[in-house]
Amino acid sequence: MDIFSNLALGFGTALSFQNLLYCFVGVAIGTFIGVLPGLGPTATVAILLPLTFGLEPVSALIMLSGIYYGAQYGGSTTAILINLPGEASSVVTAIDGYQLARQGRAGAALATAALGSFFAGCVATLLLALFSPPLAAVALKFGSPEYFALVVLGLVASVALASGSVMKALAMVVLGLLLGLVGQDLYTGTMRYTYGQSQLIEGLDFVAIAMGVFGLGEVIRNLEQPGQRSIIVNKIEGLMLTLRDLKQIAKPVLRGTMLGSALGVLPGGGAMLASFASYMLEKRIARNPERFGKGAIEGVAGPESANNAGAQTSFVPMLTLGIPTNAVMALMVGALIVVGVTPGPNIIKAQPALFWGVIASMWIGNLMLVILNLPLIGLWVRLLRVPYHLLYPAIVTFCCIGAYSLANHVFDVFVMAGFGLVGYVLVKLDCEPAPLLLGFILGPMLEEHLRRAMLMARGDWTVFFTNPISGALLCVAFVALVLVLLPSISSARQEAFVEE
Amino acid sequence: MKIRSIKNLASGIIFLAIAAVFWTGSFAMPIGTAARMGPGYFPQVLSVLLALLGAGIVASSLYVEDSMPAAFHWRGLAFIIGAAVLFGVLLKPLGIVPALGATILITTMASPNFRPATALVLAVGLVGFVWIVFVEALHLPWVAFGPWLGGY
Repeated sequence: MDIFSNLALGFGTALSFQNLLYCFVGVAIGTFIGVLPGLGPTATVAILLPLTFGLEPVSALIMLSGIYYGAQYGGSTTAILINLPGEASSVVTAIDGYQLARQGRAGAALATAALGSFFAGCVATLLLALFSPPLAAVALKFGSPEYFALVVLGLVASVALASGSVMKALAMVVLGLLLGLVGQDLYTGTMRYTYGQSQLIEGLDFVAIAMGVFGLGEVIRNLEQPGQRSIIVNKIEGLMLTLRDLKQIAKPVLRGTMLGSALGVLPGGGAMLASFASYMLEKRIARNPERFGKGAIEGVAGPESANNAGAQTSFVPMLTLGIPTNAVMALMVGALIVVGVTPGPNIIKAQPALFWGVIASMWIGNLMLVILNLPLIGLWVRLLRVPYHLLYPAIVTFCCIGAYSLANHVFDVFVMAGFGLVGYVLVKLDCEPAPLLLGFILGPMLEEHLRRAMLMARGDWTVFFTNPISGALLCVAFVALVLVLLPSISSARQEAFVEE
Repeated sequence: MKIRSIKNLASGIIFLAIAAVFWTGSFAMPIGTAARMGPGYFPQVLSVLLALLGAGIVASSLYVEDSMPAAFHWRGLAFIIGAAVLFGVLLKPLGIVPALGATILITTMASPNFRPATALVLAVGLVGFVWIVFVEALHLPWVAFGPWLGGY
């Protein structure tokens, strides 16, 4: 079978000393930052992105994905031990995980999260290896109308599946698209919105924007809640799960993995939606659902498996179509472009070592996570004790240094500061920043394919509907939009996100 | 007419204002035709779209029941954003060591939990760490002390 030789190539790449090192460093730093309260995976990836710019593309992507799932995992530790989820995807873990910790079963909760994540990671990596090549083969036949429709669907779906007001999320997408226009027009060389500033010719830097919105903005939001953290456990014991525990978590882990893998591929889905959906599923089918919220181990096993599976499979659309489905993937696309790789259907054929190497490294990275987290849990617990006010100046420092190191331009520091302010204000007004980043990354692609498709169709707008694939995709996007705007559905949608 | 959601009203107005800026800016660029879109075509479409959404959000503030926006954390906002801006301003003239040191000291003012001594120790430690990692280890071409302090 083809896949074995491909995986062999992948492991050959990922097991080189250099890449193993980057994988380990990524996973370790990711966990380190992820454990720090109040910094979720998106902020972690944004802040650490500049570290990878000098690397080979393979190593950069291996390290970044390590940072991503490391941060995801570290966030669960924080959620379980101090009930302070770093990002939405570990909110549900905190519900039952923290209760378990209060009952003295923190060890069991942590072990469940680790083993569930590991299992889910393995399965999702395999799915990624199996389904990416055929998907890329289909996508290779796509022309501009199909791509335009695909991007539209991606943007609409990311809005539909996000929490909060649909109109505001749409407005944030459009704002992101507009910001993505700044700079020189690729077709005509015309300057757009540069206002005579030479630093704007190449456009706003997406890393500076992400660091401002997710890094600085997050710091200010965290400063709003002073010193309410309390660690209830001093020493983590009982990391070994009993046979009864294992029996109890086996099925939730399986279900969570399946659900998460499926939802991860959807635009706007990924880890967060996966963990919410898994929690609701477990609660619904549980024999005595009243245990949930009071320390049900299934409430940790399901969502933790689901969010890791979702995190992994969200790489599929990013790597095969070049379309990021959530903010972290948008950052990955940006990072890949910086190191000289354009993600898209060609990547598997053109750079097999990169593609398969990253897949193999995910499996290795997940193994490292288990080893890094279970025996070393004491270290992470100690890290949790560091008061926040000693941490945030370091975060601000790394944002400033990181923004400056992008191109050694002070201008990027100002962009970051500006977007820190904008992001803070907009989040206060319940406008989520993730759609903005997606729009920003996808904007140039959307415009390029729109212009090319219209040029080839000689200005005939119906081309998007006479082309069967693009027509179908646009119809799905339209239906999704209408559905979420319907009052009855939108209220049910709100409930789903605020449940618990 | 009663405003029920201040959040929607405010964010809608912000979106409308941004749309206006991008819309006026788009006139400087050729629009072209649907078949041959000029550089101004897409910006114009998007700014109109943003304006429509902004107007919709403003309108929705009349019927969406909502809580008041949470108060701004002015202290955090001022010192964190201010510190980042200060870093940008001071970096070239002063060099990375004093600029970063000053930035860190400003950030510590965002929290009530700092004593001057702790802040100072933290600043020295962080600057040292950044210097070792980025300049000594990663060889980034940064200047420790800038022209105002006798550097280059």
